[in-house]
Amino acid sequence: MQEHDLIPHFEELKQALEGRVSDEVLLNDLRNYVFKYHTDIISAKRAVIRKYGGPNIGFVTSTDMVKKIEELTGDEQNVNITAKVTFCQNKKINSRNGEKDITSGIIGDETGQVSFTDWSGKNIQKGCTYIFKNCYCKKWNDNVQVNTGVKSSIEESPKEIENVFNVSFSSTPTETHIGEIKNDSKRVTVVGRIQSLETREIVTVNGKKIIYSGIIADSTGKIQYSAWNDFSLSIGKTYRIINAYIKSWRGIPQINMGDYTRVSEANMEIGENEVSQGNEKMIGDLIKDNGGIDVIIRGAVVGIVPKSGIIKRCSQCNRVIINDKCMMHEIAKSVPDIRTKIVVDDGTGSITAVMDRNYTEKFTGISLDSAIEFARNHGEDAVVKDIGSKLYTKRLRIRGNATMDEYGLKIKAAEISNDVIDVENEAKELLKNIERVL
Amino acid sequence: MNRETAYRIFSNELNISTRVEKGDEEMSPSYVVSPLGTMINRVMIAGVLTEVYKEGSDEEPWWRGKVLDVCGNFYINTGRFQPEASNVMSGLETPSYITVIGKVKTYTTNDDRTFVSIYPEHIIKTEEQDYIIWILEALRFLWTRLLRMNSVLKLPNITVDSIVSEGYTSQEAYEIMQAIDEYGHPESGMYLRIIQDAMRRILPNENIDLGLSGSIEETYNKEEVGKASTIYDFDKEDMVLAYLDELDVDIRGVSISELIRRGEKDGITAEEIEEITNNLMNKSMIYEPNLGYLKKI
Repeated sequence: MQEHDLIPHFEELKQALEGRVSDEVLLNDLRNYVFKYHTDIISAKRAVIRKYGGPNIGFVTSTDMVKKIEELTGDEQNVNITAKVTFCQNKKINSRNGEKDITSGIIGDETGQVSFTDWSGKNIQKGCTYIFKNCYCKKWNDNVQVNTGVKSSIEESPKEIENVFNVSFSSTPTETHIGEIKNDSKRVTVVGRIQSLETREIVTVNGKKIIYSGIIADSTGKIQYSAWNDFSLSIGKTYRIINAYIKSWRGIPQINMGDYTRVSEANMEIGENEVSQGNEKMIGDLIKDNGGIDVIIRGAVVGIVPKSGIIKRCSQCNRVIINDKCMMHEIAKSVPDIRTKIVVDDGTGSITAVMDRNYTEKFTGISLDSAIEFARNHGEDAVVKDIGSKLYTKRLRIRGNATMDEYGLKIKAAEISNDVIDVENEAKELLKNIERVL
Repeated sequence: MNRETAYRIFSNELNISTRVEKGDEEMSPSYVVSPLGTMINRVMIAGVLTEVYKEGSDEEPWWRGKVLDVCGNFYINTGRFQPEASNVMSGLETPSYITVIGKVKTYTTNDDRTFVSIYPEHIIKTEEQDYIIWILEALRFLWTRLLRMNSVLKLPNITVDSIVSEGYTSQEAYEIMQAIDEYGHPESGMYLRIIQDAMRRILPNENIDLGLSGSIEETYNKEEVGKASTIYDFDKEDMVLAYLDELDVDIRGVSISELIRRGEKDGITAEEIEEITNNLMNKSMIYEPNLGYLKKI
């Protein structure tokens, strides 16, 4: 959690405390809990409300959770859900304590729908959005059910949920361009060309299963796919894939074709040359998206990361040798190599990439041999400095797959070239945009 | 742990920034919040290195320099902690095109004025074309920020939530709120003039007129006067002496009006120039070879 993440909670507290305490004191308290004492935000908020005598919140509470319907597992004992009633009916049942009115039906939010039963006898209207507080869930026939009981409350939500997730599979999602698929896309229909195809056998509870996977592309982008059934896909052919679902792997969206997916050959072939030649992206957007397949970034070299320059590789496995020892081969013979780990920045964020020997030699004019010679007299650090002086602020265009890990965003460069910028035309286009707005 | 982005920003927007955001912990980075709502720790700037001053002792020298872009000066400082940049700086000739990647630092005086300077991580001598490309880049970002600010200011109720619901991230919303809180509504006229000026610089053959009246210098000076002149507390006398070196091309000397124009670029007013030149004459460091012309002795 960072400073700015506190703001919404701060606003919430401010409302709850209705001016009992100054903004400054409030924010300081919140900071103190979260940053100095590292409490979670829920505890911090409760503590602050308690301290300044906000609305009575009760001392004993199991931590209540807020969940989206999709996240429900069926064993929640105390959960808050904001959802819209899409169907409901009143029933009388005979319980041990005599006749009882209950309401059952279906509630939904943007992520899914689930059946519910209210035992408290509250008047629930179809089409209204409620906050169901302190609900408990059960599982019946593998389906989650939400129950509201004596300890629960049902409040009208100030915000209506407009788009309830549609569970009926009869409706087909509209056709989406592959370049526009995001992590939060749910189900899609795409028309794409199979660029690659691999099969892999896995063992499931129901025995062995073959999974088909690879890259599918249209003119707007490329994406990884996995098919859990045999759709008789073949490389180079174009298919219409209806009702596939999106899952993300390492933060990058992937297309999955499952039982509900229908695949047919498309009327229009996408030729090899029509396939996207990489999607130009701003680095800031890649950070938001956690990476991307076959993207192009354009930026300036702003840094060189350690472990650049002359390195040694194991003659047997080609792994980088650190401290004269190969991880795998005890008696390693080392082969010298040169590489540069660069940080590229386009003004919206930064990304790291590795220039191998070829690219290092091409962009710096420093060959491995001359670097070794130079290092003999001046040391290896001097080589890195020399490389840096040739690369800093150089504008590059890098194409490849971008992924996010604990060290930030990196791109596995398939292609690095000088970024040729047509200043005149780009400036004229920008000018046109500006004049249109003014 | 993301590396700080190297923002492309024109000198004017950077220099008039006054809001500083610091983390609580000792090593946490500090940021300046620009008037158009970007929290900046690192920049990549380009321009013409116009002046270099060697400071400190011969054993422990450090340098300061001015880099001119289309609307003003960046002030850069290199010293002990920027050995690589200092090395480059000591060997640079003025004027030359340079690109600088560096950290932004601020200094606030007792009377609550804030000055922004850049501590370079890397300085690279470049060609003019690299500067032109940078202008295009900075222009694009300035325009984006201006549009963003414009759309936010149209909201009936400006809160983090309402900004987020416009499609911005909570981080962006926070930065915008900080800026509005500190600077109020931005003077879009000033930014449009920077845009016009920058466009004219990169498209010299186009007739660019965004329908703005008045000359560009007038607007900047209003903003920068008093500010720029005190940045680093440059000894104004030394600056005037430097102008005389720079402008003295024939035996007649430098006309006072030329000197005043030069001074205005750095935010020194005509009155100050007059006072300084009088002082310098009293100290017998300059003389008036012809009426209205000055020369160094």
